[in-house]
Amino acid sequence: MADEVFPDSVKDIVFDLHDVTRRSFIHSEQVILYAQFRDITAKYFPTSAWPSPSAVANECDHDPLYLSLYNELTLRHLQSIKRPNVRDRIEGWHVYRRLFDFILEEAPKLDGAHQRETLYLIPEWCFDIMHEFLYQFQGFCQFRTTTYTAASKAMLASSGGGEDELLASSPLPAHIADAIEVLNQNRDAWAIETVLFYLHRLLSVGTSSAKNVSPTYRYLAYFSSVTLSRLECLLGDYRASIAALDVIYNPNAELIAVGGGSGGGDGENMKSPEELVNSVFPARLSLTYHAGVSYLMLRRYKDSASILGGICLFMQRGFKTGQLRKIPGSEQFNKLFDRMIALLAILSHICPKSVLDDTIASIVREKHASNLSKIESGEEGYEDLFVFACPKFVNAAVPDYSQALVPGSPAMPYGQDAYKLQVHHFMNEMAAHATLRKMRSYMTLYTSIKVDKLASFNDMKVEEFEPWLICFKNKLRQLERGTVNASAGNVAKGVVRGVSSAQDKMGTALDIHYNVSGDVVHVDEAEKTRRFETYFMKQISTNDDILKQLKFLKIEH
Amino acid sequence: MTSAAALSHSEIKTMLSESVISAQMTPRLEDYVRAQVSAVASTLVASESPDVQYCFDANRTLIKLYQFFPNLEGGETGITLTALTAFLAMLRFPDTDFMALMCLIPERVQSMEPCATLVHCAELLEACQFVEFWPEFRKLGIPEYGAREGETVVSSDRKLLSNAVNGSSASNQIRSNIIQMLARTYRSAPLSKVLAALDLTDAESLHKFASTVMVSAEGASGSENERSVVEKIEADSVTFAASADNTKRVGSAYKEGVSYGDVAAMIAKSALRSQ
Repeated sequence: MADEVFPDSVKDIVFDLHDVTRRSFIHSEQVILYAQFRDITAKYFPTSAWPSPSAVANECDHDPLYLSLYNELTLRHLQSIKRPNVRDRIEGWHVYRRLFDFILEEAPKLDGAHQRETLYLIPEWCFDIMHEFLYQFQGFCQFRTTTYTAASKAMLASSGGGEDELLASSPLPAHIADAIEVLNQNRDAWAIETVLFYLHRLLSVGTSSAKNVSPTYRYLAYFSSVTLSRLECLLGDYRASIAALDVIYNPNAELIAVGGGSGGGDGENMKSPEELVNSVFPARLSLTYHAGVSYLMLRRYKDSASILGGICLFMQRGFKTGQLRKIPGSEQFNKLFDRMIALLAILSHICPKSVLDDTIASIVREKHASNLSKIESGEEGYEDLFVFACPKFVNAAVPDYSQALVPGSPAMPYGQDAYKLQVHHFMNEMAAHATLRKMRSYMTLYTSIKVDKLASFNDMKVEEFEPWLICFKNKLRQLERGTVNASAGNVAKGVVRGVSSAQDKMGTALDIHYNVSGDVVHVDEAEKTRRFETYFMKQISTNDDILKQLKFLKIEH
Repeated sequence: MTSAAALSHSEIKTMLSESVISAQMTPRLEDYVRAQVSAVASTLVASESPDVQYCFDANRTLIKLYQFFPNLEGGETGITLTALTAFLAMLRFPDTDFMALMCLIPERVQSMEPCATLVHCAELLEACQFVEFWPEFRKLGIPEYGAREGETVVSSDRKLLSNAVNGSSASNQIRSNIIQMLARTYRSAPLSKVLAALDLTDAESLHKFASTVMVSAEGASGSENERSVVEKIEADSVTFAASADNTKRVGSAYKEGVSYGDVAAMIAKSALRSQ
């Protein structure tokens, strides 16, 4: 291979990063160097690749694990500037496999025997690796499906089944034929069972009860859990997506050391898994968005609104103060914010019990007034909102590529339309809500009303209407997350632990209470919650902020 | 047909918790689905067959394996096994097990019998159209129902589904769920409507059935605090046991008070911000 020439600052950063990840383990230095890597990329490689691992191997003693980390880091950059072709995608798979194999090889042994720490990665770096891993998996699944569809359509056209006579005589386009051949030769690439294997293995290594687990493996474990939750959501397994987060919300999980140098020291904080994830904002955002979607699809509207509303409020403040713009990758935050607001628009409409903060509720009204008024007038509007807001669902099955080359075969590989399946499921759920909302609007006007009168208001006969009375309660009866269990001791340390799914309890999203006795519906007034403490705490917090600012003011005499 | 070497419930749970999903699990999961349906079809009650219990995780894992490896579905066998898992989930209604599975089963399979009828049955249950539900459900009790063109032999899995549908256990499980839903909405309802919703013929059969469905008094635990879901049956009406769901709310409509947990969480956040 010809010698690659690159600036000294490139050699320096390769050397320095190797030092902090494999020898000195100084957290604060690694934070600076990780940020410097981005700056050097922008300066020297804005539209090109970094030097290959073999070209920089001398700077890091030919360390295979570090070179795998370097390879992953530079691959991430390359795929952000250049649309990857099929070979790039498969090479990406091999890069991640090598990296995870090396990481797991050096993982602490289950026997708990003490071993020298050999790897330190800051939490941001750990999350970026896992996030990109799944992003590439998702991209590959979509690429497979679109290549199959393109091949199938091309074969249909070439067999004369299409309308265009010119196309009828064209063979399969070369780039599609090439992609199909490469995909067929690499059927194991991005295999779902292997992707799951790595995520579960990192999770089990980092959360084992052995005392010799280093912080890096703990970070990788919890970010693997976030990634697993995201993967399950993309596959349509919403129960598994929520269950994957149990390890993060486990109130009995051991605290994790973040920051400081090797073996602790200045600047080291002990954090719960939830705090660790929240300290890396892109991780928190990914977790919240996918959990919000999963709760919505499982008919847990209050939980969905609560988790999405919380992060949207945080982001709204972050946008105003400019804090979020400082975080790398912030250009994606606005897109995700808009999608979550769209989900909240759906939730605020179908969930009578309001759980949204006033600020977020007004943003929802502002951005989606036209969609919501469309729905109010009886037109369909939920699908547009959901299609905009939902993630890009995938099907992980490897298609039978030979079928794509059979003229007249279905354009979509068997069972591959994952996206359509989820939208169909969502719309099935939404079908009843127009009637339920109308029912509710009449019920709130009365304390008691005859069933036949209520049925006539809803333009239905009594026999047709009565099932809706039971259906309304059923549709909005749902599991809810338990409340935060903050013990006095934890509160004193500033540690706020999460809640696991074991604390879920049955609740209702109804804001009215009714029962039927004979042929009369009795309606109780909606339960109102007077929450004065929120107002007081908000004002105390504002007062705190003002006092802090005053301390730093210099008054010249 | 269940295999002689079918795993027990605890073995299945161990396998799922200790192994990552892989194609090798498929035969054991398929056998366990069959075992669960057999348990429903037989007259054994749960306590007599502790080794075979409903396991959503196992059934969901099988469906995912079919999704990941379509060749494992094996045509008719896979479609019928998918229907068996959907049937088991439907028995848990109003829990959202069925709904969660439908997000994983391709639309093509959902539109083929016997899944198509199961999906329709679930839709009727979700819409609380209980009267329309029963005749639709009974169709699944005919082994040849929904047979595809040219299909002359009914598979053992399809017969297993029919046996389960025709057995009393499945019907009683669904009735139990329906009566509890009725009890959450109605304090009293016309007898004829309740009988139609439960597919029962007379007050005596309702009384006999209702005495097996127990609900606990609010806030109380222990079987001594349980009572029948039906309080009394009169000539033309049924009164359900009083609960917070089907009676007027007692006390103020205002939820007063500040919980210690809420304040503690807010103070902790404020303290962290000030550090």
